[in-house]
Amino acid sequence: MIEINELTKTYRNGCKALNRINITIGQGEIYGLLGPNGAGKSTTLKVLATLLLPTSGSVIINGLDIKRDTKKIRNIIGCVFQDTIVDENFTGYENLYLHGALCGVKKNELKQRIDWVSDVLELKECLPNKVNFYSGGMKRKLDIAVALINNPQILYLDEPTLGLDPNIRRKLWEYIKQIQKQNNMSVIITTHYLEEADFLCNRISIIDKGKIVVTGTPGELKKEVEGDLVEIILYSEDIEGIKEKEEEIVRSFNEKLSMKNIEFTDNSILVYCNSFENDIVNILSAISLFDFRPKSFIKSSCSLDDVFIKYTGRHLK
Amino acid sequence: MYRSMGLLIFRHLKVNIRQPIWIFFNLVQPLVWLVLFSQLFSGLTSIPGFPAKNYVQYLTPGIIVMTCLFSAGYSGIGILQDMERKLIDKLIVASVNRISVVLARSITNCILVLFQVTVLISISYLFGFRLTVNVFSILLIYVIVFFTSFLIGTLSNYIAIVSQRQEALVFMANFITLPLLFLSSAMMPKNFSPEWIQIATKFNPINLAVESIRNLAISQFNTMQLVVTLVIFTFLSSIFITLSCVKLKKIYE
Repeated sequence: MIEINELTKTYRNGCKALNRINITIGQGEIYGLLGPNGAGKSTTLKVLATLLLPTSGSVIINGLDIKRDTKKIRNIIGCVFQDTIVDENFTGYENLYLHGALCGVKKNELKQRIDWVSDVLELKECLPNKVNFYSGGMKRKLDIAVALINNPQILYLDEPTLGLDPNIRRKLWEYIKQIQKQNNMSVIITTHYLEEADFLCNRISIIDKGKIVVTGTPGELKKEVEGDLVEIILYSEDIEGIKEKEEEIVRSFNEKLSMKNIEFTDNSILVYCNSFENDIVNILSAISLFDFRPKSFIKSSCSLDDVFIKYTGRHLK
Repeated sequence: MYRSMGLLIFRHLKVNIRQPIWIFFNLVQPLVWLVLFSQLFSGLTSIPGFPAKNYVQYLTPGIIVMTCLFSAGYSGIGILQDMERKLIDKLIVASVNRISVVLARSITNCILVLFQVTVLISISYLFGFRLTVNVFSILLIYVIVFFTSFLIGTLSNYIAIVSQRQEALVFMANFITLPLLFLSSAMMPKNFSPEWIQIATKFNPINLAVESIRNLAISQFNTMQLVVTLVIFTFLSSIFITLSCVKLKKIYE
């Protein structure tokens, strides 16, 4: 269990990266920290990983105080940093062996651990090969395997799938879920990808400018922005005309329906409304005031992205 | 601490062995200096008062120390790369202490320099260098090479940790190692230099290493000189190691 109370971190240059953060993370929970660049996600992880000292506040990890019991905490955590850190000149096996030995894992146990992590992450076949022949996804898997080698009770993942293609990303999510389940491990993950947080996390906090702005399960957060998103796809010849009339269109939509937000993309208009079924007539009526015809409508439910916009006022993607 | 330091030394050595091109380049450089300087200054031996009949015999101890300076002077690049790719973060989270991180880099460098010096001495034999065959004096030469490389390595690591930039490290390495070399008797006897250089040479710790190795090569033991050299080098190295660890601690706070 991790208890963070009133955690504040101010850097030497005066930059306040974290401002009185309070989080409680239970054993076996996958907890997500969502936020734009510079929001304080990585600083939070660095404090939890004992790489940075808090300026004020307290952090208790499984009953151990981060300031007093630093060494003990290091024995129960595993860390995957934002950049993949593996030795390119070494084989996968050597990477795992060396890191395990540095963490103090005993020789016999180390072999078993290597067997287990390489099995779970499907790395067995490539372990004898040098890492510089690995793909980006393979290197990331090895990086996660290295973090798991000391059998940690808590795993920190700092944007683990950043820069990976969607297929590999999804595969990594499945591995993380599987590993967490098998070990009842607490996992704290920072991410830019909302679908990642949605898929993986039991609970999510949105962090912005060093403060937690909202915390809840993905379901709870999405409920807060209940409603529908209607995307009105336009014919290419109408797009230019739309751009000139943006203000007029917003005014017209506001008059016709109680919409939450309206956005213009390259080839469509996005309308956030309470209910597609109730509002479609009003949407059509608002559109009819202008000389363009919609090509099609796409209706979808609000996502975590909309939650993010609600609390931070901007897109994350 | 010793276990993690040993593992890190093993890691750094393995990285070097798997990239032999760098060991080769580091080896070629002193050999080029040996060939060039031995030809360029060979006439010095005809000047009355020159302490050797064969210039290679005089120069080789200087080239040995030059190898220590140039190889260990860039030891900090390894630490910088580890910092840039966040390997040090990973090591700290793995409970490896900062002193192991700093010492492992310096000791690895010393081991590589010992290897280079062995090859250098072997090749300088072809040019007329002669080492008095005495196991004890050869062992002491290696001890001095180790301590000299260690001192320069720890200084280089400290500059790297403070500056956190490769350009600054390269500039500082050249700025420090070249004057240290030329303000010593590596290439020319002290009494051949202007008076102010002679005074500077007296206070240059690198000169202690050059003269100790030169004496040991002909089995002349100057116990006091050896003790003073090792004590000064150990003292200076411990200062740089302490400063490096303090700075690393500050960076990670």
